[in-house]
Amino acid sequence: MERTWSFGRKIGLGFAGMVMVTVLTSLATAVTLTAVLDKAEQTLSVHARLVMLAKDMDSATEKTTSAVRGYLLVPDEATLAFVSASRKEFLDLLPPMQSLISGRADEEAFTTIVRREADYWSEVQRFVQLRQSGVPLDSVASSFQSDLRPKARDTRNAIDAFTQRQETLLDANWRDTVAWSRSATLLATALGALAILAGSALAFGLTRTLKRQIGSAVQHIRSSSTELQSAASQQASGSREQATAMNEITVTVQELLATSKQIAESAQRVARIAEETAVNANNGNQTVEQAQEAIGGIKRQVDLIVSHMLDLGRKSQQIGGILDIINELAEQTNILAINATIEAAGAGESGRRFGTVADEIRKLADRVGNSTKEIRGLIEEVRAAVHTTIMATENGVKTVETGTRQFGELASGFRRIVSMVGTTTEAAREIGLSTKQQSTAVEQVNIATANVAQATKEAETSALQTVQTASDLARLSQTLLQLVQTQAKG
Amino acid sequence: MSGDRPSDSGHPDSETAAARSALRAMRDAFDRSFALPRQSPAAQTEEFAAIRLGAEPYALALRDLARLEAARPVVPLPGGRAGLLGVAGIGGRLVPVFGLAALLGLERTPDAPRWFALAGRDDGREEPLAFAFDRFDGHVAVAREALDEAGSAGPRPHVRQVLRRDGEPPRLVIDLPRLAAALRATAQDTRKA
Repeated sequence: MERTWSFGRKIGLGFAGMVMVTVLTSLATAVTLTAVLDKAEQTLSVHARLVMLAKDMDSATEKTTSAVRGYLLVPDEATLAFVSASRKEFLDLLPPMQSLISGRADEEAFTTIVRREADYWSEVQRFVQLRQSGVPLDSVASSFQSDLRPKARDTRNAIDAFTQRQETLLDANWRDTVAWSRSATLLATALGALAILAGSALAFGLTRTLKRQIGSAVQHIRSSSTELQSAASQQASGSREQATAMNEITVTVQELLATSKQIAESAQRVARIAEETAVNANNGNQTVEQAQEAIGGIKRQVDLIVSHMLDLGRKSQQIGGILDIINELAEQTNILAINATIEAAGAGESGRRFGTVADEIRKLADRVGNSTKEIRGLIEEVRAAVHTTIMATENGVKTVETGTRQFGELASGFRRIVSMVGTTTEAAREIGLSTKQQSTAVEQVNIATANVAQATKEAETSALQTVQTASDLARLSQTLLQLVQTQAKG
Repeated sequence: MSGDRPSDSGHPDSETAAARSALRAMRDAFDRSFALPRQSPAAQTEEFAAIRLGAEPYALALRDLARLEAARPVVPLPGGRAGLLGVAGIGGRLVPVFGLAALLGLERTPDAPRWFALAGRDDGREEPLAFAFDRFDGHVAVAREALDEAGSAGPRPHVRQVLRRDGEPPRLVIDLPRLAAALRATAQDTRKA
């Protein structure tokens, strides 16, 4: 709870405690002094005045006695007036005394005085009448001595008793007053000492608390200011680096902007060339389709040639088969002719002519065989030529098919080229558009980068200001710490 | 397409003219043969049947042959001697058939023999023998001067002469009578044994 109190509250609480102690001290001192003053006032205004009034009353009684005595000697009116004046002086003292008397003992003593004085005054009046009646002076003097004087003595004794009582009370009250005064002095001194001690304790506590807390706070401020200075220095350094980087970024962004514009121009050129390429590809596609149709016609003609060639080959095989028959016949004829020759050789002269015919037949058979060989050779040549032609034609067919397929692939390739060129055109347009948007974005980035660079410079300035402020704060905390430590040492 | 034709082939028109010329020459020779005096060729020439065993050319003298016939089915015999293919029905008789290539020590071709050469006289004194061979090349008539004696140490056994013609490789003339005699002698020895 103590740590949450503010210094103003603590100081206010300390001052409140001090004021309370002071007020208590003042109140106690005032009460004590009031009691002492009351006691003194009571002593001086009541008992001392009663003593003085009693003294005056005794004096008036004595004066009355003296006046009676004078009237005894000189019984005139002036003396009698003096007696009455003395009585009146005595009576004038009664009201103030009665107003001061308090307490039953004082009232009884006062009543005793009044009653004895009344008795005394009755004796005075009787004595006056006695003197006025012409009674001898000796009798009058004797009455004075025997009657009047005891009454006067009694009155004065009562007055003395009253006076002594008042004096006794005066002494007692005085002693009480002195004792009260000493007690009040001791009390005031004790309260003053207590106030000084409380003030010193409060001052010590406050000072110690303030020193500890302010010292701790100042230490925190110092460390914080040091950290703040370091952080601000780092921030300033970072801001400088950031400013440098932002400058480089700005340069790069400007280069990027220029590159984007070049890309946009290139994309436009690409789109233009792609459109021209699409036109050329369409033309090429049409040409390829026409060539494909022509190749289709060639393929049909080649297929027809192949069919004829195969037919020719089959016919050549048939001719070969017939030649085999002819050859077989020639061979058999030859064999038969040889056998005829053999038979003729064994038949003697008649067989010789037969042998000649057989020889002619054999020669014819040889010629037929040779002719069939030639024909076979020609047929083989024809078949070889047909085979070569078929092979070449089949190769041609394959080539044509390959060409057709390749033309088909070429046409497909042209169509793909057209499609891809369309895609390329679209992509180039999108690239151009995107590059323009990118250029706009890069310009915005450039502006933003410039703003950031400006903000970075301001941040650097702010960081330097923060460094300065942290330095000032460190010096201030050092000064404050010195003040606190000096105050604590003092 | 003209480039694919054989290079040795002439122009069709010239070939047709050559064929017509050959036809005319052949017709003239045929007509002239009737005008020439008849003479016996046997006095100056000797006739042969040109055959081929495998790829090698041979010749059989016509005077050694009884007949040439087309081959017919041969029934193999169990335990026959070397070169004996079996027996075949020829001219209403069972005639033993020998493989001529096997007898000459040549490798036997996988194809069935195409021709039979019959040796032996028809007078019944000699038992006919048939020699099977693969191919008949034709009739050859050469002058006797064109024949060289092969000698005892010939390139092949049972070869009597060597026939030489221009443009052809030399043909070995098989001594068919001696070969038949050797086979018959062997057969007689076998019968006696």
